[in-house]
Formats: sequence, structure tokens, C-alpha cells
Amino acid sequence: MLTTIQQRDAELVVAKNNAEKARERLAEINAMLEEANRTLEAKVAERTVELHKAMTAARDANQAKSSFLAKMSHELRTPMNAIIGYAEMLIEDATDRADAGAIADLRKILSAARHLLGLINDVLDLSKIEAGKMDLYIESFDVCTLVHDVIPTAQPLIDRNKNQLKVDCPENFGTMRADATKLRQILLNLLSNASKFTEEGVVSLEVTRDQTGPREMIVMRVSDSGIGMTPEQMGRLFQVFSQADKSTSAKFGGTGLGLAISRQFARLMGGDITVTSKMGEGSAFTIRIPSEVAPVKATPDGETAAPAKETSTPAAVAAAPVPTPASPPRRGRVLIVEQDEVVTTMLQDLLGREGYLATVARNSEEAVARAREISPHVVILDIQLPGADGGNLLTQLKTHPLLANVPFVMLTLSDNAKGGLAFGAADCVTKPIDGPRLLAILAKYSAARSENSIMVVEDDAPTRNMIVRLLEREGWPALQADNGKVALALLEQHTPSVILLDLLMPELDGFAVLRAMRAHAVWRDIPVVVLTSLDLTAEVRGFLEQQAERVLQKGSYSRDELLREVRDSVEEFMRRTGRSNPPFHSRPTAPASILS
Amino acid sequence: MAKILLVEDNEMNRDMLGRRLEKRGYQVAIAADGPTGLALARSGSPDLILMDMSLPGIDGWEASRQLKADPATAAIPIIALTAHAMAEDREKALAAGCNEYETKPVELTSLLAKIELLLPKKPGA
Repeated sequence: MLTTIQQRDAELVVAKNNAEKARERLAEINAMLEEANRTLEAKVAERTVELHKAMTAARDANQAKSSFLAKMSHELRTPMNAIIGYAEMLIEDATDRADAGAIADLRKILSAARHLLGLINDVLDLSKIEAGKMDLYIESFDVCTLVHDVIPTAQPLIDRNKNQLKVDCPENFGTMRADATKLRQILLNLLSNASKFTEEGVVSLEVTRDQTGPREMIVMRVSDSGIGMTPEQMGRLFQVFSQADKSTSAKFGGTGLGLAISRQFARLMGGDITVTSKMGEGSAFTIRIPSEVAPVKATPDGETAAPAKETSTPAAVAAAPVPTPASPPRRGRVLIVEQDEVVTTMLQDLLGREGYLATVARNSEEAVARAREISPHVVILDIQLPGADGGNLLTQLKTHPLLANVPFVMLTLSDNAKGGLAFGAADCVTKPIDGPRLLAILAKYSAARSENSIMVVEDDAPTRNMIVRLLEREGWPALQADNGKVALALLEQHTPSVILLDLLMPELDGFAVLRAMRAHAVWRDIPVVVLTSLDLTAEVRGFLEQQAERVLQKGSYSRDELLREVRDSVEEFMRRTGRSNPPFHSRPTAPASILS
Repeated sequence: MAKILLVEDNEMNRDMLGRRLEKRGYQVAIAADGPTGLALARSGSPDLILMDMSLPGIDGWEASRQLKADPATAAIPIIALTAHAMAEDREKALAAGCNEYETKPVELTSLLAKIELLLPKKPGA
């Protein structure tokens, strides 16, 4: 019995010792873990700093690349300017002397110089695309007119290899909204490729609409009966500086950049270019572009916010931008000056759902830049931006000519509300933001400024008064400007639904007004009806055709007829833009009808 | 005969463009930098100015702004010439008061059309 107890005691002592050892070991491990943890945290911090440095370096490098290319393009263009210009001059002189030998040689210089210039432009285009700096200029145009515009340029290439060009574009095909210049460039590239690789064959261009998908697509198919390609060649086709094989450039010329650029342009517009080909039988390139391309603005940090590419997978369809007709009516443009991303995201969501276009700026410089782009109807300003005195910031922005007449809504903590109003804010909203209250305030200010007015820009007072009276009789309020300068000043404050524009005016003429408008992010969407007594040359008419919705020549009408034409045009545009909604980033489809 | 003031610092471009314009019957005055351009614009009463944008001394943007701010020269149409094909440069030129914009290398037909469009119209046109 006693031995049993002694045995137990001994066992207990052993067990106790073991437990003691285990605890010591645990403490040791714990210390080690703590140490490892500390090291790890230090390492993570270290790596984060390194990563941050690497990212900054990469961004700087990318920026350096962009500015290098911009500078290079300038440096390269200047001598090209001289080479092309002198060659043209010498050809003029040689033509005067009828010196056929010199003309032929000089033409070779000119052609090589133009080729080199094309190369420079291609490289520049490509670098702009890569840097996310390629803008789209979206406009409405007649599809077949564009197609037929390209043909005269493509024809010499087609003829060179004794090919035949077949174009199939139904006359009443209609219009699309896209970047016409880029589409023209794509078409020209594909047609020139097709004719390069085809001899005594047929190059065809066929234009159709595809309405089977979620978005209507315009399909342009360029096919040839040329040499065709193997699958491997097709795989490399759209890569930069890549041609079907090394000998291609020697035999057929070209830079290997054209297709890469064309595809990037198509993708930028939310479409794509695809190819099918069979060795020895020919190739077919298919361009698919949405009939309504969503606008893309190059972003300053280089990431181009391109619209989702058209594909048939359900996820991509859901992510595709909503076509214009389905989006809610545009209520106005709001500039949000705020640094807190949580707040800006929330505000953009809220305002976007309600049909406002909300743009964010993080400081006063950005605010002025954005204001220049969008001419906001209302500014929402956080008065507690770090590093800035809210009152000062408000005064500074309010006194800027661009924003002087724009109502400011302040975001404040409750005790600052009075301060904001004292500095000239129109209203105050306290944080956390009460959504419905903010919307009610915005509705008040943007409604006051969104108008159905028509601007009449005409220096001849009797004509102007006559038109204004006519418009008012029809129930359309008119804004009046007696020259272009006044018109542009008025545009800073108002967004009329239609502008009636005379061409010859003192101070600033109608041409300059059109140019300024079309270069402006918001004004360029306002339809313009040109009224002129000028006898237009083809050149001028071509320019106006691109820049204005309609041209009415005063001399071709009696007074009553002219007034009727004005009224009909205005009515048409008002109806198209929706009379309750001012035009907003949606240039109406308008075949430019020119009366000469 | 219309008088055109050509402000351009690159000698070759100046010579070439000047000669080509003269060949087409324009009277051409030449300035190689911004200050000379401003002086000739004020004293020579040109009908139109072709202004290179990257000039030494006073650049083309600044020179255009000064000419457009001065009532004596504000009415003279200015066509900006620049080697930059970027849209922002065009906007910058228009913002400086230039009436038109031509990218280098200059396409002569296009430039001539713009010149004709901007030259003061004869009365009654």
C-alpha cells in the first residue's frame, strides 16, 4: 500500500517536472513566435515601402516615356515639314518647266517623306493608346457616306495590283455614332492591306447591321481573293511590328503597325476586328463597332476607361455599358470637390442613379480643370478638405470666372453650416449626408439652369429680332448674341437646346464659334443651324457640313420661307433632344443637309 | 493684294512657306521670333498672321494672347502653326485667341483654304 503511494508520488513528481518543462518550452516557442512576428511585420513594412517606391518609379518611367514621345513627335515633324514642303515646291517648279525627269524623282522623295511621316504618326498613335491618352471624338454620321469617302483614297492602291473593288453598302443604310476619323483610318488600313496581298483579284467591302446581340453592331467586312494566311501567321497578325513573316515587309512594304492600331481603335470604341483566312484562297477582316459608341475620355493617370468589349458571354453582356436610350434622363452636371473616396463614391452612385453627371475633383486646381471640361450646373464642395481653409477655397473657386455664377452646395459638419453660407454658398448639407435632402437641393439648382432656350447669334439686329420674335411665338425662349464673343460668354452660363448661328459677324465670326464649340467637351453636343448669306465654296461647305447640323442660306429663301425653315429645324432638334431635357453628351443623329 | 505676316523661327520652314505664299500672290512679311512678330503685327497692319507656337522669346500662344487683347490688333485673324498634333494643343491655341489651327507639316491646300476663309471679306460678301 505504502509502496503504491510512494510510486504515485514519484510519478507525480515526474509528471510535474514534465509539465514544468513543457511550460518552459511553450514560453520559449511563444518568444520565438513573437520574434518571428516582429520580424515579419518589419519585413512587410519594408516590402511595402519598396513596392511603393517601385510603383512610383514605374509611374514616373511611364510618364517620362509619354513626354519623350510627345517631344520626339515634335522634333521629328519639324524636319519632315521642311522635306515635304521643299519637295512639293520643287515639283511645282519642275511642272512649270515641264521637266518630267525631275518630277518623277521628286515624287519619289515626296512619297518616301510622306511614308516616313505616316510611320511617325503610327508610332505616336500607338504610344498614345498605350499611355491611355487616346481620346474618342464621337459624332453622328452617315455610314455609307463615310464608306464612299474612303474609296477615292483606297482606289490607287486597289488599281496598283490590278484589283477590282466591290462595295456593298445599301443607300438607305442610315447613321451611326462613333469616331469617324478612326473608323476611316481602320477601313483604309484594311482596304490597303487587302489590295497589297491580292493581285488581279477582287477586294470587297460589305456593310451590314447586326441586331442579334444586346447592342446593335455595325459590321464592315473587307475580304479579298489574295494569298491568304496560315493559322500561325494569323496568330501574330495583330501584334505590334509583326507581319505574316519576315520576308513580308521586304516584298509588300508596310510597318506592321497598321493592324495593331486598327484593332486598338476598334476596341476603344467597344468593338473589335477579327480575321478568317485560308492559305491561297484569301482573307476576310471583320470590323464590328457598336452603332452607338459610348464616349471614352483618356484619363490623366493613363488608364483608359474603355467601354467593355462586345462579347457573347453573359457576364460581359451584363457589364457592357447601357446604351444611351435606356439611361435615365440627364438632369445636369455636378462637380464634386472632395477628397474622401468613400464620400465621392457614394455621391457618384447616388447622383448617377438620378441621372446627373457627377465629376470629382480633389483640390482647387482639379476643380477648375474639371469645371472647364463640363461647365457644371452645381458644385458640391467639402469645406473640410485637408490642407485647405474651406472658406478660402470657396472664395477662391467662387471668384473664378468659370464658376462665378454656379451655385455651390457645401458639405460641412453641422457647426460650420453658417460659415459656408456667409462665404456665398447657396446651400449647406451636413455630414453624414442625407441623400434625399441633397437631391432636393440639387434639383432646385439644376432645374433653374437647365433650359429649353434657343440661342440666336446674329449681328444684324432686324434679322435677329425677327427670328427671336418667331421663336417666342412658338414658345421657345431665345438667348441673343450680336457676335461670337458674346455667344461664347453666354455658353459659359447657359446650355441652349439649339444655336442659330450667323457666319459673318464682328469680333468673333461664326466659324470661330463653331470651332470653339466643337473643341469643348459639352458645347460640342449642341446642334447648330448655320444661317448665312455667304456664297459658299465647296471647301467652306465641307467644313460646315462637318461642324454644323444644318446650313440655311439666306439668299435662297424668301423671308417667310427662311423663317419656316428655321422653325422646322429648331422643332426637329428640340423634338430629338427631348424638350424637357437639354441636350447632354448626346449629339442627335443629324444628317447634315446642305442647301446651296 | 493680301498682306500676310509669317512668324516662324525655323529658317527652312520660314523660307519655304514664305516663298510658296508669295508664289500664290500674297505679300509676305517675315518675323523669326515673338517680339519681332508682335512689332510687325502692330506696325505693318497685316491682313492675316501665321503664327508658329513654339517661338523663342515670346512664344506663339503668348504673342497671340497679346495681339488679341490689344484693340488695335484684335481683329487680325491668326492661324496657329504647331508641330503638335494633340487635341490639347489645338484647344490651347484657340484659347489663346487664334482663329484657326494648322498642324505641321503644313498641308498647303488646307492652309490656303483656311487663309482664304479668314482673310477679311470684301464688302457685300
